[in-house]
Amino acid sequence: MGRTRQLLIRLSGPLVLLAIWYIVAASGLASSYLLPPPGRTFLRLGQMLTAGTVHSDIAASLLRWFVGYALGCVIGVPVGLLIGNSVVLYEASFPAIDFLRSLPVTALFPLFLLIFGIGEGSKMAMAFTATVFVVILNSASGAKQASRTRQRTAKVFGASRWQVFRWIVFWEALPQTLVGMRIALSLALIVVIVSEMFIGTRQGLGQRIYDAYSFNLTTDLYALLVITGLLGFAMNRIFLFAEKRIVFWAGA
Amino acid sequence: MEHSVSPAPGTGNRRAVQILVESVARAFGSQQVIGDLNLEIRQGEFLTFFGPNGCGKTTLLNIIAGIETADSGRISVPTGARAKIGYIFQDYRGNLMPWLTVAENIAFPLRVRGIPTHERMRRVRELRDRYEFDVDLNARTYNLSGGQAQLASTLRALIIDPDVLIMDEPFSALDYQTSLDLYGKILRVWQQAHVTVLLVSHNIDEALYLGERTVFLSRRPSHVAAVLENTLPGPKELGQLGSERFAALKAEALEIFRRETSQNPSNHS
Repeated sequence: MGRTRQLLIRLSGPLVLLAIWYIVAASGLASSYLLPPPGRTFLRLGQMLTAGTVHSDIAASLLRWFVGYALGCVIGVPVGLLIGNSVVLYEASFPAIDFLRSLPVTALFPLFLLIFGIGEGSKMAMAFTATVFVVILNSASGAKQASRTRQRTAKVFGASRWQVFRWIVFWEALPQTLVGMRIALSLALIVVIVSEMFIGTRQGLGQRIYDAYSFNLTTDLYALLVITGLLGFAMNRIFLFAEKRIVFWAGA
Repeated sequence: MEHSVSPAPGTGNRRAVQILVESVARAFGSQQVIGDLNLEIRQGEFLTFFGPNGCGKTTLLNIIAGIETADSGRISVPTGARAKIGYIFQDYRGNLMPWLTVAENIAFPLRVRGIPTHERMRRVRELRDRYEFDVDLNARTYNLSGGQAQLASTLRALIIDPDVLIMDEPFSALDYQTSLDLYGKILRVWQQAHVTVLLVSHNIDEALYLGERTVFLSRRPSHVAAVLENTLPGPKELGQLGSERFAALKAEALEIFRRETSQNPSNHS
């Protein structure tokens, strides 16, 4: 498949979506209050961006997301790898981790409010929690599935347990670790937006979305949804781009 | 195709015993795999192992290499110095690390020993040139053919200057043409590196052709059923595989094999 052809096919999905949006809005099937036309929405989006009114909201959401996510990865990856590297540790901790992962993070709101208060702490803690269990789970299962043959090979050549862990298990688990980190990326963003709506904040995309709803500004609401969606999409794309290059051997 | 390898000097009993396998036994659960196995491995010899499936060939090599332990009996080294062992596995894909280049894979045993990168790469290039192996050192392992991957594995085993090279069915996953090509290369390595080679094979021609001696293992619980000396004269070359003397040797080997596999296992216990 040629590159231009591939690009056209990939662009066709979003274009069709926009066309449906336009047609439904223009035909009057939906009221323009509930579904403002795309033209007006993107005009509003442009105004928001040029006037700079959303910049501080984007920055605030990104900061919460980044701090929570980064901490979740920094702690989750080593913990997961260590758990996956030991059969005993894996068997002992897996039910607990699976339980915690299955617990919706949003159910922890009240608890986090009690512990961290209504400031930045509780929102970052939410993003952290959303990240850490997914990352632990995936890196642990990656390490658990690490090829026994390669570990044995390294041992035959005299590698210590620590060397086997660093030079074999880490790399064997890396593809799965990155999958976990990519899933957590979207999850952490969702949780940041939700926690901004629920807990409330001076700045943040979640708060702006909730404000737009409260003041019946549906065009603003749509414009903010597009911004949030694009942010998540872009982060996912950047991550995938890096992921393919880091674990170049996976799927080869 | 001439491999032009003449027998190593001092063939036969005159060479010193390097490793002594004494009454080694090993069970997995209730299954006795090796039972009272005795064997003399001589310095610098090319020893091949042949036997029925599941007779514990790999286990025996692992015990000799010190990767596994015997339940009873012992491996002793009469010369005193503990032998450095290089290991070549059957599953070449599963044993190379795809995240490393070919050169880094070959250098892995040196990395374990804490030798710096620059020195590692120098030694890898030197080794490749010494044996004139046709492997692209900068390639990725998943781009190598089976034969090239096995050559890379061989270099990885050789980089620590081993005294003993253990090869566990190194050719069984390769096509015939590639195997024939590698026979010559392995024989050259054996000659140039003055290394003792222990090679497991499930191909009788391969075992008899490559080995100076071929050890026949019995079925479980395995012991040494017979040791057959390769009496073919002169340098090893592939044409020998079609010679009458080779046919006679093979007939003798098949007779041993038939006797050992048809026996009731209860005779050994």
